[in-house]
Amino acid sequence: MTRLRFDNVSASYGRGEVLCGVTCSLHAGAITAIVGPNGSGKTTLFRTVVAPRGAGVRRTGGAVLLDGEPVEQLATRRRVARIAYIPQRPSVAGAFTVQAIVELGRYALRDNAQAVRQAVRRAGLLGMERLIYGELSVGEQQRVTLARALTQIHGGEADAVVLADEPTSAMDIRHEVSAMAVFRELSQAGVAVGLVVHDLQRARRWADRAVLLDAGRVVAEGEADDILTPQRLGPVFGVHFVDDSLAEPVADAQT
Amino acid sequence: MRARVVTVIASLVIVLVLVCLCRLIAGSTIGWPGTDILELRAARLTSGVAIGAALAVSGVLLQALLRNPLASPFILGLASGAGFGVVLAVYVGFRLGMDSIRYAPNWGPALVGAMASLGLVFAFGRRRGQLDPIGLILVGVVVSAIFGAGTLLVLHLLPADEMATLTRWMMGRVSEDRSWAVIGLIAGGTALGTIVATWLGPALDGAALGDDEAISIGVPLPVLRPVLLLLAGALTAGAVVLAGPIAFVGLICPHVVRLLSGPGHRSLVIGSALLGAALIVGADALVSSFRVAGGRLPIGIFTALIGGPIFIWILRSRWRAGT
Repeated sequence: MTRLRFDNVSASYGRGEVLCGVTCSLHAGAITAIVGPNGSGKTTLFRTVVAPRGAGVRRTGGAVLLDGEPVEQLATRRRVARIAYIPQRPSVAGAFTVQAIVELGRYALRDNAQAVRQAVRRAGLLGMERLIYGELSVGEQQRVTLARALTQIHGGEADAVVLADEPTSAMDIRHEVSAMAVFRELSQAGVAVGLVVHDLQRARRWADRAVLLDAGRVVAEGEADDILTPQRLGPVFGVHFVDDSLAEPVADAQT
Repeated sequence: MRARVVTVIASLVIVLVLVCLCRLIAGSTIGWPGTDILELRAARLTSGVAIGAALAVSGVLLQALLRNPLASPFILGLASGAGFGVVLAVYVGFRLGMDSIRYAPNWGPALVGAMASLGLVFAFGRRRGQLDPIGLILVGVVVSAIFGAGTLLVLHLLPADEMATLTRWMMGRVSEDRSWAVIGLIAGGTALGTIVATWLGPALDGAALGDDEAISIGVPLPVLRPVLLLLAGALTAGAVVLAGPIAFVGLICPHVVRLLSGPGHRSLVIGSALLGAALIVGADALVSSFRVAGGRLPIGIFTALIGGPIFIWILRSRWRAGT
């Protein structure tokens, strides 16, 4: 079932359009991998949901619909309880503790100590609550951001969307596997998970569905096994793969 | 953490009360004064509390607004802009022969000057649409220098006695010439501003996240930013009307309180207001007691002597931390 729909969405940072009429969907209870080369519009796609009038990016056309309702028409609390965002490069100004950052997930919602405790545990942060966020490694900071997102949607997973932009890019393999298991649990609970990911093998391993972007346009959308194939990915990324496992891609000769 | 915050705030309240008592007994003679002198000292004390609290809270707001711990009303040129606004209004009053403008508190022009400075810093301190920490400081220094030069230019167009008075005021001193009405208005405004800033504390905590992340958790950044801008400008303008541009209070106080009680903005606003008030009242008590320059030494000298090295220390700490 379609939970979040990008309907002919265009977006710009001021000079030229970064997204040109993108139409695709995130389904409830599924992990959708968003893949594409650098600059294809993956991050911008998520930014049109969380900050349509945020710093720099501007949605210039189309609509983003949550269960058929434009996201900008949702009341703040309803939007916050249903859409969580994990940015590519989380940043925090000030010496806030891990606990304080995770609690910010409930900023616009009712305090929920149990949600915070559960999120801290699920993100593997037990014992780290009093550490200063800015003194953690980037991988650890990504786990804190994951916990903050889990706190935000706690109790409403059946209706929620999580937009995660390369959420495990700096994690070690153990924590990456743990984090991906959390995303899998979320999707099994009904969450529509959107996952920007560069590692195509992992995308195929973890995702149920996939959206392939190139130069701000959707090239293909569908079941992950149908989209994440050498035949589809090769021309978009300018590589060819030695076999169907997507291992060891070889760059095409420059023309 | 909560116990630590309560301890810090309670300690700062005690410090402020003690400093206020010192201010009331400090002067050409040390001791409890007669009614007339007491009223004069009480007026300066009230001014000092309002000035210190306003500058410190303004510093907290600017640092949250720009996500930059080096931001302060003085560094970003707000104080210079407000000072220019006041001096320009005095000049206009002089040229038009309108004493109602010439000798007014000129809070309005001070606010316009402060907002103009901040507007320029915002407009030119960006890189690819994002606020650049070092760029903001550099633009602030330039804006401050431009408004400072403009102020000097206008001062030289005024009669010598008025120029001398305003020059002393520009060095930062608690004015003795303001009526209780003006002091009360600015002190009341500062108290109100501090209450609003305290109420906004959780939103300021949320704004510590990146823009998109803050909006995604429900922080109303597009509304919050103009409110913070206006509040910081208004607080700075009030302080400048009472004391001229005083350096570094808005930088030092948030940093010290942050070290003591942590980064949470509710305690940061309250603690900074208390510390700022204590700092200015304490400096004023020192100036009055030591009788250097007839007890009229600008307190801006003290704050600059203390704040300058602290600013360099903060800057170097950030460089060492790679930020």
